[in-house]
Amino acid sequence: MTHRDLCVHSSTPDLRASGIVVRLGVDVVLDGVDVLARGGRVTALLGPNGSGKTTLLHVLAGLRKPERGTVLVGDVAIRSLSHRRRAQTVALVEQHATTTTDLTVRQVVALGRLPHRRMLGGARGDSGAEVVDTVMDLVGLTHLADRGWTTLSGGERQRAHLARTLAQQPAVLLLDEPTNHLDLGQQLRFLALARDLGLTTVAALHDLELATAFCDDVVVLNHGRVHGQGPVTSTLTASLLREVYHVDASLDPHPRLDRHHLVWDGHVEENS
Amino acid sequence: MSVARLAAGRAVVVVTLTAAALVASAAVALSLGSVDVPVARVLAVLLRRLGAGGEVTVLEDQLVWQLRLPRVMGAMAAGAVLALCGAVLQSLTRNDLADPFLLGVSSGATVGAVTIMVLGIGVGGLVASAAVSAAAFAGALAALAVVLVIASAGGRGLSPHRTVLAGVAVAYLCSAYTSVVVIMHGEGDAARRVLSWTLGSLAGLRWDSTLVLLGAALVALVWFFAYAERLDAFTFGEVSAQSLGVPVTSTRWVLMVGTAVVTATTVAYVGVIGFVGLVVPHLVRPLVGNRHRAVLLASAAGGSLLLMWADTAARSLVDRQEVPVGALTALLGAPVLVWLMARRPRA
Amino acid sequence: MIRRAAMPGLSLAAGAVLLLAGCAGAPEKETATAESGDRFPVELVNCDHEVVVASAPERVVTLNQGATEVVLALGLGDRLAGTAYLDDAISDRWAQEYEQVPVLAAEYPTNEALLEAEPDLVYASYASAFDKGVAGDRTVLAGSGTQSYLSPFGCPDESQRPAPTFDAVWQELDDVAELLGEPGTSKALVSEQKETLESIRDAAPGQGLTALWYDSGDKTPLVGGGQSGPQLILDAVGAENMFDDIERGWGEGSWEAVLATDPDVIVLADASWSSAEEKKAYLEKDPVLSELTAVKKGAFVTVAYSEATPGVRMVDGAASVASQLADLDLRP
Repeated sequence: MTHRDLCVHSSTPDLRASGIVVRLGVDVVLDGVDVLARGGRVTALLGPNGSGKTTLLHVLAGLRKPERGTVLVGDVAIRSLSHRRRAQTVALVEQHATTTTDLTVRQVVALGRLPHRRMLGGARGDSGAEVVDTVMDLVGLTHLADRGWTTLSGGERQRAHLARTLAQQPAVLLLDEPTNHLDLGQQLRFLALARDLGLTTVAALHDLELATAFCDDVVVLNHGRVHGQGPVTSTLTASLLREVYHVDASLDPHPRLDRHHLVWDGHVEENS
Repeated sequence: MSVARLAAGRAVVVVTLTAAALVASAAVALSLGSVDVPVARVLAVLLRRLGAGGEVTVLEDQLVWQLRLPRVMGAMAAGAVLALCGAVLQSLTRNDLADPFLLGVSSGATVGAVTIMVLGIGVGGLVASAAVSAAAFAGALAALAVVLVIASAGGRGLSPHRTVLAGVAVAYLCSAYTSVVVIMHGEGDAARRVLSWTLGSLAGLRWDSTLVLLGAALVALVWFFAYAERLDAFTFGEVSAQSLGVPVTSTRWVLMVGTAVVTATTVAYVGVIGFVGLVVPHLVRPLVGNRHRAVLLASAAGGSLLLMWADTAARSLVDRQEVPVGALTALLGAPVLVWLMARRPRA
Repeated sequence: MIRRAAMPGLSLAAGAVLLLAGCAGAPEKETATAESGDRFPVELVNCDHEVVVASAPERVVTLNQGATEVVLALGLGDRLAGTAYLDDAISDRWAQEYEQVPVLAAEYPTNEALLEAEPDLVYASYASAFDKGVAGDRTVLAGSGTQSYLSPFGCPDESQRPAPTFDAVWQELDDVAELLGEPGTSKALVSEQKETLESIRDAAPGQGLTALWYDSGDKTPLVGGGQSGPQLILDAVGAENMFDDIERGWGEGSWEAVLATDPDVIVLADASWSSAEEKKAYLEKDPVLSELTAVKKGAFVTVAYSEATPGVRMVDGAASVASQLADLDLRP
């Protein structure tokens, strides 16, 4: 079984959210958010702390019912799916999810087969163990399969989470700040891995440089509203960066590589 | 694959060994009591009752089959229920200190029991012990209802945090009632009886109660086992469980109410026996791993074994007197818990 | 004798008491023949506490049923200014006198309620009556002019408690009669009780029978042991107590031992918190215990709890058990 065989979905659908409103008490967390993540592409979800990125990902994953608005995967409303069907369609790597329970890597990855299993019996038709083996191989964790969770490094843990979500065989992959607490090498390897899966992917990121390097599109969120979305270079303009992050910076063509990179003049506004 | 099979194999070995230990120690437990019955005579009684024939005296049959066997089986059933509920609630709330009495079941049951024992409010047609059981069960369910109402007020499902707080609040309320009733209205040895009830006892179990306890244990085992994989999904918290397709809120309701009802059934017959539900899951996890199918099976077996031993000790340690079994489980459990916590890996 | 140490076990042997009283240096004095005015002051040592009564107490408060019944049995109910805390009901015999006395509280009265009754003597059965919240410390009480007497069976220091015997009960009656300045009343009562007891012993309606004294509890029975009222009563009627090896008044028995012994008769203690009826129903309903010979034959004897604890009604308890046994006619 190769990783191509993992694709149980006939196509890579677009993920489209429209008019999303979420309130937490009196605070409006998301205020009429429209998002389009193109099929098979990686979309970066950017924005300062508290801009609503995590809430939006939960809404996109169908975990949270918005006060208004709908989320469509292809042309199917995510909230119309059963819990199990939803988990076979969208998978989420949470921000810094850990546990004190010392499961092995294989057991963690096997959790991803849950949506494909019956309550008391085994798998439905297919062989879950093969899928687990394949995705562990795909993220390069086969040699750690029997290691306990608590002995893993941060990068290994994130890869295990990624493998677990891949074992769900989803069409849409949602990543919530997956590179937090990882060193540079781990960050680059993780994002390269996620990009090459070819799934419709939305990744909440802090690092604009990483977003520029690994993502096709961006959505910039600020105070619960979308402040711009589209291809990375045309969206992250100097004026948008000033407005959202209160810094003077711009995306300039890289002198040696065939892409843009972030250039920052060193000036910071007070009280940003 | 092989290591995973090995882990599964280890769980099978642990459960099988525990079951064998259960049978062997049951035979010993059946021979102990204030009247001597040698193990050979115990086996003779059992064989005759199982239809193999043989000669036994009426007294031997009364002692072994009618008095001791229901008690031994009752201890096993109650131990299994408590350990299963502890395992489920620890995972569900991701709280190592969760035990079957988390939801106010024990304090509610005590309110019911005290109302009958001290105030002597009769329940029509029931003898005293049956009335206490009925009242304890009703009290436990009432406390559970209050906890659930408080915990779920304001929507957002049953958050474990709020549930634990609500359980604590209700427990204090119940203990206030219990103290006031015992102090203000206690006659004779009321305080002693209430204290001994709250420490639990398997004394006086007869087949009618034991069959109920066995039923509760069976229901708990099958019911919770069916939810084992969903519980695995809670390993990384509820968002992660939800994203794995587990209907978190309904799962939580079903399991919390389920554990409370089987615990209430147990408490109604044997009182509040602490530490079994808290300690046994912690004890078996290092042996069988953390997957819930293995944890649940091993907890049931381990809980049975622990409570049967504790009860056998309770009735044979001191001649002529019963040591409260809850005190013994605490005595065994507390150091084990401390030791386990000390050697736990950090997250 | 007016000065006497209430010492445990010694009341069994009257000679030893006299000897010890001599050691205490108290002079012998004829009290029975003296004029009422000469009877005071009365001094005695009670549970290590010195009691000095200067004149006949007129406002006695009794706490606990046992104390109340002693005063009523002595015919001195008119001295009572108040009583409190019944375990069950006052014996019919004294019910009329009892109704004349104000009841200060259902259980222990508060300290203020007690003071309001202006007692000159507080007489209690249990040491808990002198807890802070109730009558308070006996020395403090004496300082404010209120004397106190505690039944020797209730001494806080267990080593000062007498062995529970009829003689010890009668000793308490003598003490109280003396404190109240009416020693003659106890003499008459005691000799009457001695006669009753003698006739019960002669008839011995329990001769040859083994008895289970079932006090309370169901899962594990609390039974009458070898050291108190149950044993004294069973001895008086000539029956054998199957749990006489329990070296206390009451203790936990075991149903297994009961099955193995299969007693001839079961004595059921009747108290408000555990009625005889309740226990009988339990025995008859239990699948195992209902097979006991005594249960099948209905060989039950009922005794009020307060007639089985060392006190003025214990002879009534013995008489009641004796007559019920005679009616059952179980003797082989």
